[in-house]
Amino acid sequence: MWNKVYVEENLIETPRVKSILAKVKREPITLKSYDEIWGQSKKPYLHKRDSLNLFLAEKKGQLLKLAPDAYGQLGEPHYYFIHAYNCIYECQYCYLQGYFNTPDIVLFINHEEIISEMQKTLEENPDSRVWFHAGEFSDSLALTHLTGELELYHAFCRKNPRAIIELRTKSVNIKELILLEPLPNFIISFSLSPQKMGKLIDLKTPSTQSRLKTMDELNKLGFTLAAHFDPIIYQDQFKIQYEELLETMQSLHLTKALSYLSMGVVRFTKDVYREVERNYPDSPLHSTPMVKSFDNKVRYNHPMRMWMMNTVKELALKYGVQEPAIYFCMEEHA
Amino acid sequence: MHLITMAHLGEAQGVIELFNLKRVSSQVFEGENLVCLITGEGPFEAATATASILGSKKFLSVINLGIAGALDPEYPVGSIHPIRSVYLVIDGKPQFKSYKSSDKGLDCVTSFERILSPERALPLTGIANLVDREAWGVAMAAKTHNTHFSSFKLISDQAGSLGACEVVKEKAQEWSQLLAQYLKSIIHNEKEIPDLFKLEGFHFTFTTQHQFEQLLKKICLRDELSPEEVLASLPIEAIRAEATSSKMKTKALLNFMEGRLDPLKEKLDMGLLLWKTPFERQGITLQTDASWESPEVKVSFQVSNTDELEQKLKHLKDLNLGPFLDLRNGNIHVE
Repeated sequence: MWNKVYVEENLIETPRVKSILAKVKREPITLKSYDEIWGQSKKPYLHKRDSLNLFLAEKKGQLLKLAPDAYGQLGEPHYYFIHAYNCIYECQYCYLQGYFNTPDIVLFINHEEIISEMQKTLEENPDSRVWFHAGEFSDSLALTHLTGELELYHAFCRKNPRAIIELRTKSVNIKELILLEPLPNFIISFSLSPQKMGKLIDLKTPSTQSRLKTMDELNKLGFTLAAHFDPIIYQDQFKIQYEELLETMQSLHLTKALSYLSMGVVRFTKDVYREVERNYPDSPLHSTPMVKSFDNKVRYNHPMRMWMMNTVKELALKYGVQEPAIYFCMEEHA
Repeated sequence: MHLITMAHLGEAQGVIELFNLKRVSSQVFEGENLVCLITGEGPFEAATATASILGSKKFLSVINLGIAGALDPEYPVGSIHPIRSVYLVIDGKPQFKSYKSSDKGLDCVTSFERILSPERALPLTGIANLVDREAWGVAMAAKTHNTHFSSFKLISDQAGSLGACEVVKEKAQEWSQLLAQYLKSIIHNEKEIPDLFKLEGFHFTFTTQHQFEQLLKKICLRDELSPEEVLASLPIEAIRAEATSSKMKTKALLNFMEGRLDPLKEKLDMGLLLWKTPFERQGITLQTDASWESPEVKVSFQVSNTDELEQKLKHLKDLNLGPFLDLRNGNIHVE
């Protein structure tokens, strides 16, 4: 899977790095700081298919970032923490293809410092719950069998019931997760697309069917679950496809179990859109016209995206998702 | 006419002989379909020599041909590979700009310095598969002149290995001929670019031509049809027979194609027309954002006396933004 593995020289003797290196079975190349190489040259995104490098590094600078408006449910502060850069999956709409200059993966290993920053932030917000989201720049579960940090974040949630951690994922890698006790404030959220669409655009990810099976398994174990229908992409019979998805979710008792369901229609910054056109010229993403929208992002026109979100919302309600659990992500109010 | 760039005369000998090139200067050899430029070693030399010739003459493409050291032992010495991307390192430090050579192949990093030890080669192994001394410079010059660039490398040695220079000298003639044969196969396999579709009776500006091509591509993707099949399915003959200008015919065609892609377009257009028409009959124009992003409605009319003004204001009292906002919010029944 990995072409080369680079490790920051001051981390080479740490138990976490030693454990990762033992699992990836690669002789590391040491360097002073990961960014001596990572992102220094413009490396085309699709090179990840055959020359993906791994960097093990320490996250410096800002460890937590305040999430933008409409990122999560309204009324409470939302932050995201950065445990990694880039992802092993290859979703055609992914904004990472236009975000960094390289698809190479960085795993940050100073989780204790990230958690200490989360503790500090929690104390600065004494009157409300505080959300901490993982998975902004990488899948939250996909590599946890290598990295082994889940128990640290889980312990933080157990100690701080006011803190809510959301692990956003498309992965079915729950080997490490199921060793932990389910907590109401330790939420596993799955991004889902209808099976047919997922197959076309969520490349190298577990199928929607596998993700639903994993959700079912976690639900039965008592884990707190959420889902993201994001991005919603138009295709002929998109309504039927979402109906099928929600019907399956209902049959697995997942629709009622969701803490929340976020929805967002596909959108791109101009740069990412250009990358998507370059990387996936034959993608179904290009088969419906888009316009420059209110925030300069490229999206379907307003009536189209409102119609799509309202359609999916009605279906979600029909199949048992509770209305207060539904919110629209990064969109004007519908 | 193609421009072939090679670092040394020794490497280029096979090309010069096979393509029967005539010496124009110490660096330039010219034939019927190609010019071979001897750039000298190093990215700076390659860039300046290539830029100089591109400034004086127009070429269809620039092809960089030459030898490179392998950063991975899996690639055998003597094998030739198309290059996918070209990177640059200066004193071991990667530089930001990289250039694409083709969709597939190996990646090559151009180094300002010769890589003479395995220690120097090791950090480059995560950047590329091969290391050379010229490709990046040639690519930069070609891209600056908006000329298509591609590169092909023959693996001469394992980068950083001892005695590589001696091997290269020994094999120079053999490799030069291999490179020449390879070049012949590339040029022979070039495909002609097909002409754009031409539609008699329609007038396309640069913008509408682009719109037409984009819509055609989207319909091909959506319906999984070839461009010819999509064209055959469009009402081109019916639009052509309409008694309108060629510009209006183009507009009608684009409109039809948009409608085919956008499931709401017809209903939105119809809804908007129904909402606007009663006011337009009274000389009141309701102008809305064509992209539907803005909820603003611009209301305009002309009056020449107080009676007319009162009449218009009376009609405006009936103006209800509800139907427009409903359309904008996607409250439309679509199966």
